[in-house]
Amino acid sequence: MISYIRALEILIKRALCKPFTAILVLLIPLSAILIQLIPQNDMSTTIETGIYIENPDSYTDALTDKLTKEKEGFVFVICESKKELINKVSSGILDCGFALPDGYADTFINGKTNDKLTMYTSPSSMFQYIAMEKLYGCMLEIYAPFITSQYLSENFDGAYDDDIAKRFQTYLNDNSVFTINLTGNHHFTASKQKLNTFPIYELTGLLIFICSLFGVLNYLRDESRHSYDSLSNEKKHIYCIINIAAEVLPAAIIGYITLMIYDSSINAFKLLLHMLLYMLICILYSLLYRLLFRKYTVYQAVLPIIITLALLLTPTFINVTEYIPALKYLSMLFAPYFF
Amino acid sequence: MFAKLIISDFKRIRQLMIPFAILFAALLLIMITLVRNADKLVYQNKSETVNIGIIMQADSEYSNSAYNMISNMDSYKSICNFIDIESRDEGMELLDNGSVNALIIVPDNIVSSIMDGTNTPVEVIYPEDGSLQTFILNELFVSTSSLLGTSQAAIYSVLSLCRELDISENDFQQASAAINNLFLNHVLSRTDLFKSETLNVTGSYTVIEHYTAALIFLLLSLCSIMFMSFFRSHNQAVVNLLKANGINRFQTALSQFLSVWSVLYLFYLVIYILLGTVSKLHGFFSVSINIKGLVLGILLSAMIAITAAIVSRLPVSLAGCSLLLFLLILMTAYTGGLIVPELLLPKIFKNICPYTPGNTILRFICECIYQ
Amino acid sequence: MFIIKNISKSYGSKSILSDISFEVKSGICIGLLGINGSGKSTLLNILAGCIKPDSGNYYFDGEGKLSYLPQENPLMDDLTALDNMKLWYKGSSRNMMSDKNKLIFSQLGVESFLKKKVKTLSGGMKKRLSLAIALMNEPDILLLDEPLSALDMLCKQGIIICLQGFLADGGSIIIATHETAALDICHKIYSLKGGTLHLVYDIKNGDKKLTEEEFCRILLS
Repeated sequence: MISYIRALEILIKRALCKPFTAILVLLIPLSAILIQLIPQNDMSTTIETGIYIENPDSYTDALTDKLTKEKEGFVFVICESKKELINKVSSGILDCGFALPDGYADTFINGKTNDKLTMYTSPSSMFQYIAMEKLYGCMLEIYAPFITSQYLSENFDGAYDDDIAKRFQTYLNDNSVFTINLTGNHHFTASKQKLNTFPIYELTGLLIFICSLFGVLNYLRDESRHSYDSLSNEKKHIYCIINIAAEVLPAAIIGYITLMIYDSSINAFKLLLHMLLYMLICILYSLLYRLLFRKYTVYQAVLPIIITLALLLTPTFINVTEYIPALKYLSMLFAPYFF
Repeated sequence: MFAKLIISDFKRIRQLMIPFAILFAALLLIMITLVRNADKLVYQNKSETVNIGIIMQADSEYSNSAYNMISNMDSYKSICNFIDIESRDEGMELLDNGSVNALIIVPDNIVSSIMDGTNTPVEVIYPEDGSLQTFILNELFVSTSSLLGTSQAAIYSVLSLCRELDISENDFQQASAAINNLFLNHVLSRTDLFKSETLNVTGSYTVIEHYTAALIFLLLSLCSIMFMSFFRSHNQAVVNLLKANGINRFQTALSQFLSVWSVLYLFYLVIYILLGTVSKLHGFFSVSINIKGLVLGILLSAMIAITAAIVSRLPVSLAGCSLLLFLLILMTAYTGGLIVPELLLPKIFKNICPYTPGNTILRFICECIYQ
Repeated sequence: MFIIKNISKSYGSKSILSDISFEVKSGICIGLLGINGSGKSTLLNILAGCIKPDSGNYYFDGEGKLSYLPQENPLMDDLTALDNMKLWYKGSSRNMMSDKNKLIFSQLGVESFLKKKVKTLSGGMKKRLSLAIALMNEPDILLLDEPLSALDMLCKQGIIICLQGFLADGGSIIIATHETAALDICHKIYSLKGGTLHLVYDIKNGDKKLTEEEFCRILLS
């Protein structure tokens, strides 16, 4: 027993002397520190729609003033260029976007449909039709007086622009037109929450798993160099476990301390138990890989693939099983699934 | 001697074909599953329909056609699900238990009140707790009602002006009909003012096309890691003896490179033909089998084989070389927008992405294989 | 005759070989004796053309072929014994199985495992295979670096007999070894100490064969 503990001590020293293992182990506290230092994004529930106006004029200025009045809920954002609008819609920053070509106000007022307004959407757009209705509603409200002025000037003598505009505003404001009665709470204040989306827990689990894979690698490399030739099969298994433990222990200890500092609300004992159980799972999985890929040359070739699949299939950065349930069983082949 | 070395290397690599094929097939299967569902992974938003209870006591032809017109509007169809409710009490109960997010009560005389100008308002009842859904619904209702309100305000202002101008009754009726038609046509044909363009986060290629091209590169690159042991399998004695026989390190490396290149190209052809076949059968994308695609395979395989050969020569252990190559592949893929599309990358990487080798490779693959 | 003249080699400030000169005549076996790290393998690597000397020269007086068997077997583990032979054989593969070569193969006992992969062979089999590969190119000079290390008595005996046959056919050998069995076939034995060569035994001078004790004394002195 003492010889195994001594072997564990020596192998831990060996593991920590390797730059790669040291980097892996230190990655956990480093990411935790980085997360605290980088200013976190505000999570807002505003729905942003982009507007790009090719050649702004007095007509479009009135429109943009009205559209950009609201700062919560459905918000219209002015984009400086079409490229900016397209990029933001493509990347999902804006739910959708509208590009008004040059002289569009004239087109709208005259009811022409040849010069169209482009609505840009992406597969992630959800509220483009609502934005379209809102935009049209705003345009109608601003340009309705001009539409009526045009009708009057075509059919009657005289200039009635100012008169019509005043009358229009009066009717609009005195509730003599069609309205809806609202009861209940339709207000929704967009909450600006500081949201930390960096998966520090999942990353800790993944790094401990990768360390366990390196433990097997070290064992198989030693085995290929005939270091364990004098040992019985049973002792070889024990030394394999010692090698894995030598890699996993430093990562688990550093991970535990980091998570305790990072999240002070966490139950220390529960986390400790969780870590111990997870370490056991990692060791078991590593032994399984060792049985599957018995040779050093085979294992070192397959190791990057195992890490790739662990990154893809386990819910570290993205939970693919949520969108592709069929992969759930495959993700169970990797220990981080259980962290 | 050099020819014999090449033959020997081909014989050696032949033994790696079966494990390579197994690994290749396993990765291909997983990656195809991910690519096939790439849309879901990239665009993770799920739009949920909102239930709206509607109590419409009016049963006239006008009311029904108005209801049909509104419920068929794209803006309503995209988020709303209308549920007909018999009575106010039933509606309030459904509102309280959350079965509906809003309750609309349409008055009996809705159409006649609009036509005669009394404009009996439609009642919309929301639950006590405001939510994003109720907010969105409210935006929708207000926008729709404002179309009518704005049109009415414009029509009323014209008619009030016409009354003051003291025109004949006939002219007044004509003006009333004309202005009503003007705004009715304007509102009803409002969708004709817009043309829709769907953008992809992956640029001019669809998400599936983008990730299929990425799959080709990633699959070949990741599987090339398997050849590290092949590149480093010569012991010092073999190296010395080769040198004694006039074969220098470059020739040794060249011989190994030729074998790896051939295998990678062979597997590239397998993927290429498979994609071409799927393209013809299912039409997820349009991969064409042509000379450009075949030449692409030669260049791509050569590039991957050279990279693997160079990394294998670094003065680190075998496992170190494999991991270094893996990190290099990962970095190339990430900065090139093969894993996360360029537009979704962090700002620093987004700026350099178009100039990275990964992005160049991706664009080149897309240009060569897609029609 | 194979002539070695004033070979010197240093690695940094450390001088490994200093002004090494000797001749190898046809049918003669030269033994190189020295402690670990004395430069025996370096000298053989230089003579094989694997390393360039800092100064000096080596050449055949007339025409000649050289074959080198390093300490570590120069075999590709993934290939079969036969494929390894085909790789290192300098002539056409068809001529590889000539009568002379077949005799060598049977003497060394490699025929029984020609189709087996090298990684499945034992240490002794690998050494015999390596020697067969060295001999099948019909060299005039054979450079051997510890050919008998980690072999059993029977294996050693087989190799010695093979080498004696090679010498009898007019071939020459330069052998770096600690094994007394190998040194027994040597006509001359040089000791490599401090980078310089010292003749400790020459059969022509009528020297008596050295005993094991005498070998140890030479090594330790």
